[in-house]
Amino acid sequence: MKQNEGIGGLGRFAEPAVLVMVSVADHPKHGYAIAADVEKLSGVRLGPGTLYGAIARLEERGLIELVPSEDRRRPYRLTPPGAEALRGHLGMLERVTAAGRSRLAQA
Amino acid sequence: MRSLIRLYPRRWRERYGDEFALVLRGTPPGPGTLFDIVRGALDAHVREVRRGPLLRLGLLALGAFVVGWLNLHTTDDVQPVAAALLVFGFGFGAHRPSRAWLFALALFAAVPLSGLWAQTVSYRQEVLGHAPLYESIVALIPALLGAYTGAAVGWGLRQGGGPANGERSGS
Repeated sequence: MKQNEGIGGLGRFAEPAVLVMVSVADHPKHGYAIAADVEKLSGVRLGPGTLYGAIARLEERGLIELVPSEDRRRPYRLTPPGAEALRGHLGMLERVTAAGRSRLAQA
Repeated sequence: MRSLIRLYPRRWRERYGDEFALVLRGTPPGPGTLFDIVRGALDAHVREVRRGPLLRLGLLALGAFVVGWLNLHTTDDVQPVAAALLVFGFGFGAHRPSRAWLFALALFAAVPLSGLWAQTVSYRQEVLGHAPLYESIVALIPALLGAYTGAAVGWGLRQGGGPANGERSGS
């Protein structure tokens, strides 16, 4: 298990992982619903290999978890450490976005 | 396309196989999807092997044994040893790029060690002759070359593929 590692060190899976976390932040979703939501949200179509590569890593780090279900389509939800990691990451993105906009305005 | 799930490790299939099949059913087939699945399978295998340090050590010992064996049994030709060092070095380097140097050294060490062992027990002395052990230092070249080429590929697999490894749709 790689608990407490947050979103860092995910390499090429970092962005898909953030998109998955954002997707399940409001309520649990299964894989297909996550892929559809991410595409609607960002225009990015996650391939199945990438989607489950990100899901496996997030689960391993304890950032998302399975919701018990009888259905074959098992939903995932954000865990409290996952919510905290996502807040931190989005805060960082907001600061970068603000700085980028400000610098572009000065250019 | 669904049969490609078999490319994934068994433990992974048991855990994600059903869900993956459902997602795959709703994904348009094409070379991009195929590439994504194959790359995901490669990644899953790498992660699976990473879980087992004993397995990794065992594979490294096996690789070193093969290199040592070739060193003793193909004394008239250095190419088999060099090829083995390149191939094993590449595999281990790709598996864990940050440790490429360690794998290269471990595999290389099989060359002088097997020579030393052969000289100690006079094994195949008639074939080995009395070549000085320091000459085996040249084996470092294919070992390092293989390991670092593998490391470059390994890094590429982990870092490359664009921001989300997906296709932008409608933008």
